[in-house]
Amino acid sequence: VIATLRMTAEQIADVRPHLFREDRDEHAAVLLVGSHRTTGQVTLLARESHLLCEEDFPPGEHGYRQIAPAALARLGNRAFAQGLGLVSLHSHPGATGQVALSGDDLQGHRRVFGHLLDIVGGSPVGGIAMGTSSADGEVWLGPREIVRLDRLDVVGERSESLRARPVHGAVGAAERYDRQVRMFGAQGQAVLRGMRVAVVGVGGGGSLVVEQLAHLGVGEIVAIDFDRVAEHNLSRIVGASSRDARRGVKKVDVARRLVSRIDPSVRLTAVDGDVVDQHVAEFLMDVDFIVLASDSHMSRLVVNAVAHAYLIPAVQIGAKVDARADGSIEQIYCAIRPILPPQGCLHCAGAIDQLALQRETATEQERIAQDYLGQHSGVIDPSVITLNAVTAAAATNVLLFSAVGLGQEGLGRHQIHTPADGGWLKLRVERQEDCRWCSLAAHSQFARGDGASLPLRRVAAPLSDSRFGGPRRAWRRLLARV
Amino acid sequence: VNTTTIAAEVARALGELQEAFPGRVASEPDGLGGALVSIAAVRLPAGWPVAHSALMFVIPFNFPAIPIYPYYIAAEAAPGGALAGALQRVEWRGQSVLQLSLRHNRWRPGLDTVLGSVLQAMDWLASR
Repeated sequence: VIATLRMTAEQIADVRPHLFREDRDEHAAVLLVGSHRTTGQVTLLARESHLLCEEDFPPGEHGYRQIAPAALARLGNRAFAQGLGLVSLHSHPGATGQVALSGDDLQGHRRVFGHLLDIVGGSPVGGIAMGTSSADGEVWLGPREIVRLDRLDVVGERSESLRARPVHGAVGAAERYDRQVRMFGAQGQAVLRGMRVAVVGVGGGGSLVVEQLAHLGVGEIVAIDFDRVAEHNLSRIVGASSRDARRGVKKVDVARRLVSRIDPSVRLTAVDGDVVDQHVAEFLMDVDFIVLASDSHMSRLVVNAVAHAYLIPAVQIGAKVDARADGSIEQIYCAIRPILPPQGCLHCAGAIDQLALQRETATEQERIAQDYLGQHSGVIDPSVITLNAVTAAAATNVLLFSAVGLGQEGLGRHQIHTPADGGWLKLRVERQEDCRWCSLAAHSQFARGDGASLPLRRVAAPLSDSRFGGPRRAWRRLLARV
Repeated sequence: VNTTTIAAEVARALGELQEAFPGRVASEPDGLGGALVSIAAVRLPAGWPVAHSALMFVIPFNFPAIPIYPYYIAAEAAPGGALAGALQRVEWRGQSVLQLSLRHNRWRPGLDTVLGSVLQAMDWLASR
């Protein structure tokens, strides 16, 4: 089992100065963590960080310092109440390049972690020694299931991975990457190669993102789309042909063909489905980055929820041409909305429209009945590849700069481009204190991992009245009862 | 494709309603993780053709991310004359019903509750 801990850049910025102070003494913090488990992998997700004071991290009987039992009990009970695990962090101030758990650390784990597992009710517990740019630890999944920490991933505008020892990238990156390696180094190329990136919606914007990711040389692209190529898509989908339109080829299969032509060593996993469905959304939970390029607000709701529940950086893109019923153009803009802490989420930004969600959740018959004022006349908005290209490049840049460590403060801000006048607007999105997705409010799903309650559909059924063929009879029985 | 599973949040919301209206709540899975719900014997305004109706609605699979909308009552409950703005006669799930277009304009996911929503709908009906 490979164990990783994922923290936000905001959290590490809070913890690091506490752990590494001018006194060069050891200091400690405790994280309350959600978790995500798959076969062969466990990911701990930091939800709360608690900086321990001198009283909570006193000189120890068995080692130099130890977390006071009262502090462990207090925080363990808090973790249990929230269904979370607990991970302690403590500094090894002299460890700069690499760090290792000491013998005292390991003995301390064996003395305490069995009891701690009981306190937190079976959620994972762990202990990590931090160097200034390294981390070594172990995670206890059960009294006899102990796993060494592989790495600590920090997600944010400038992501980083901390390991016990630094990993040097392939010194001789392939010739095909020579020009880009000159910008972000062989280490950056190795980071890209190790990434699994989901692209949700591989139509106009998404196909361009897939193309760029393949050229960059990411390790794996997970392309998700339920749609098939039609004639009217051919002005925008990169790699699609008239033959594809005639045959109704799946968009994900066009993406697969495109990637194999650019770089056969880049793996493409094609998922023919709707990301709103649980079995499809589960593909997102194991990726390193999500690009959302589909039109629906339901997919925005889902990706925003998954990104925050599993601490996965993401970006949503859209090119919008608002047309009036008479065909005249009202406004044209391109939106690039990173989902990177510490920015507020798509919900906080007002980018998930509640009325649109209700329309998309309703059946066709319900939609017609609810549109009794005739506000949604079904006008097809225009769509142009140049607008898609602006958003695709900007989104891929957010991924690239964040992943290879070139991101700076502001990378996570939302961008609105108005191509008619060449304008760019950058927006800081404030996090709402009671947001269900990105806040730390009690009801928030932030960093809860597999314990999160997500807005996912249980079965892959078309959103039409036909889905109620069975339940319709059930509904009549129900009415008869009341 | 159908399933009898109901999302945990939907089940929690149903429990809340059953506690508030004991013996009056009936529900069926909608096949997607949500539930079709009916609350019996909801009081209607004085002067309407019938005194009570079932209040019907769907708790969608993505509740509480989105609120309940709309509500329905029996078609025979419709008051005489032209219907007010928020009331429409519609076909729903194979039958004629009266649709109550009551929207939550400031729904706060996870803070606002299904019970609060239902009580608002009942209050709206009672105050006609």
